[in-house]
Amino acid sequence: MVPREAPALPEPDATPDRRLRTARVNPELLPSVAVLACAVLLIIATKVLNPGSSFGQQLSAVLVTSIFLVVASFGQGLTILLGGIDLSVGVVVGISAMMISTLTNGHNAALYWAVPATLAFCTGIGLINGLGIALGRVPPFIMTLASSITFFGVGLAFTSGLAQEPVAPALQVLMTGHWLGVPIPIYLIVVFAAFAMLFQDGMTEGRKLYAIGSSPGAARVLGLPIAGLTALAYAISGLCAGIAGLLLAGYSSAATLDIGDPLLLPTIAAVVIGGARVTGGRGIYLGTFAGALFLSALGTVISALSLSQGLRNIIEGAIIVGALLLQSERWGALRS
Amino acid sequence: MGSSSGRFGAFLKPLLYGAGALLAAVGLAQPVFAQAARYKVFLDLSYSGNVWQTAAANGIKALAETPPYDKEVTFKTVISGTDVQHQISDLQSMIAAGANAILFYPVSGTGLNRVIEQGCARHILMFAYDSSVTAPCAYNVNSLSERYGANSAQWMANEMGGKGELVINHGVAGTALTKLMDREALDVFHKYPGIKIVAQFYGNWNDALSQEGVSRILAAHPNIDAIWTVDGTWGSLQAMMQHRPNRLVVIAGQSNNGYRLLIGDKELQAKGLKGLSASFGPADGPYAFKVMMEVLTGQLKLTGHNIAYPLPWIPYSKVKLCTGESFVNGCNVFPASKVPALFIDTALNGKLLPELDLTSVQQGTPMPGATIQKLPPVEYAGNLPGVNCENCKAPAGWLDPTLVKPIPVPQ
Repeated sequence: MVPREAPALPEPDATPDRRLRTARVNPELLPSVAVLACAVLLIIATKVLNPGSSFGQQLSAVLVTSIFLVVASFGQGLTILLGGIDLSVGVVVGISAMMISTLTNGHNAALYWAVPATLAFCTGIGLINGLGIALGRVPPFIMTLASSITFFGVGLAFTSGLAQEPVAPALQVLMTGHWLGVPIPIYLIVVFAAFAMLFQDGMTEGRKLYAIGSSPGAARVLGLPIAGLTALAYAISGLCAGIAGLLLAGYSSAATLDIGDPLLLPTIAAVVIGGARVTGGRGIYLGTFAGALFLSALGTVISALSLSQGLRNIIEGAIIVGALLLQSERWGALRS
Repeated sequence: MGSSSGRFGAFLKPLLYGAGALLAAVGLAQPVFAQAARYKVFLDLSYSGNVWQTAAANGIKALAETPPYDKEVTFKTVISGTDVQHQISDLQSMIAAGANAILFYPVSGTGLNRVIEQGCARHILMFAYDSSVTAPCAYNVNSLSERYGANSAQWMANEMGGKGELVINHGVAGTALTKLMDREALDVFHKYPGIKIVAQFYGNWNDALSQEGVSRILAAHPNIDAIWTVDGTWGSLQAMMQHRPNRLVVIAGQSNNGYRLLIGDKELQAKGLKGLSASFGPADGPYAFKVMMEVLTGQLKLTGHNIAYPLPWIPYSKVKLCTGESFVNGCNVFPASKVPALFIDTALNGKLLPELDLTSVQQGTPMPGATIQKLPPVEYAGNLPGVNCENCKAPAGWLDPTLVKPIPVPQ
């Protein structure tokens, strides 16, 4: 077994690296698949508990409501992979939703420039976070918390908290329409997940992030561009939060500045449940994806069973702690 | 005698003239002095950035700049956030700054009592709006005792014919308001055995979360007939329109403009949508400001400390489109082109707050040409133990609906 602290080599075509990659990915597939299986079991359980419901409808409800988490937690996962965290996700989602409403003002024609402008702004917030962390050496949670407070203030100054304009109809159709009988967001999830997996686990940049997260010292010795990659990871996190904001604005057909707040903690939870190490260096996107689906399925079961909010919080908290405990146990076994 | 009196008179005359002139000068100076000395009035907000608080604060600011208050009042706004300690310290600063009246959104029902009493001891008018405090010397202005829970639930039970599958969209778990509204509503629903509560969730008064919640519940319970909410109503209805557009529901809740437009739509009504737009309104803040100013300027003498802001109540049959910028001639909703869907229509009140229009509550500016109108007589609110009073008793039948007559329980 290759020691986990060893950074992966960046060359994708080198034979030893290919061997390394296989060795790294395989043990992590197991928890991801297990979490995915749990999500499916939860959906089946809801069907058993409510025989009148349709399995297809439930699956579709779980998938459609999971898209925001699937997208935003990819970026969160990259920052956690570096041993950091992005606490600005909720605020960036809100800013994105507000920007797209304000810029399009209910007109599809404006989308072609409003979407890139919104996403560029959100990526910019992520980039500022990344540069502050990489060059300013500000601890990630302080940097992202501070930028979220600051940019919330900027949003507030411009909007008073409420978008005065409606969301462009095309975005609403994107989130509520069907193609070949399947809700469009489900296609979006498939495309996004495929791209995210390719980037995080297949591309050189993604692999370098693992190396930095595993051992920043070794990565420095190897000459990896740590500052650039850190800025890249946070910029992607900003971009993902921006995309989630666009989707949420389309889904809700109205935007408020605090629309993304309930998403922040679930993005962290999805990454952790998916088997990522909170101190960085480990975790694949399939795990995060499974974690997001699991949380969405859990939300559906809890809503369908009408569990009290207290019990709901206990269950969600216990699952996160359980996921962490499982990790430490596995790590203990591996080390021994 | 006569000569002496004449001499005395000659001596007294200039004295009397002098005294008269002095009195006249004092008499003239008094109004000048009153005009120069403005009332110091403070507004203490809990949280800015929330649509609700912003609408209330804008309405209050607009009123403070509307004649004659613009010349009578020095008005300052402070945002205290959601932390009790912070609000206590802000209120103390206002008291120290020589406030004549403080209007505040209380973040705690009991935690502010001591600082409120400090203010009262200095003869400062302490007015809490929207939420309430239990300090006996404070004045509470809100709709908490107007029984939204009981009235809306009874309205729904009547529209449902006393039977059907119901979803409850609670507010924020653990808050006094959610507990109170739930208790009132459940007390009504439980009287009808035909009404089955098939699912409940906490939508946190948030539209996106409510939309997600109802979408999930619909997947498990595809035959629901009704949704009861306090807020998050627009989001709940959006979920129904997406997933079951041809069979809509009986629904009660908030007053977002988009929601009012939908419930007033005849085509949607034909698909089973029967909506009630009631619940609480941000206009209770500006209303509280007007009550406070009438007390401060001596125009109104209050005989109680709990003042009711009448519950906004617009069932689907009463939705009426406005052509202008304000609620006149009984209109109560704006065209979609004029305001965003989530604009809260109950930020305005044509009857009690004719000085405010759409721009006032969106931007905090006074309506051109408006002057402050005298309020109709205030209504006092019933006791709610632990909410607006301590060591007090709720009136008999405090859970009974007041605005709707219950239908008999179907056999």
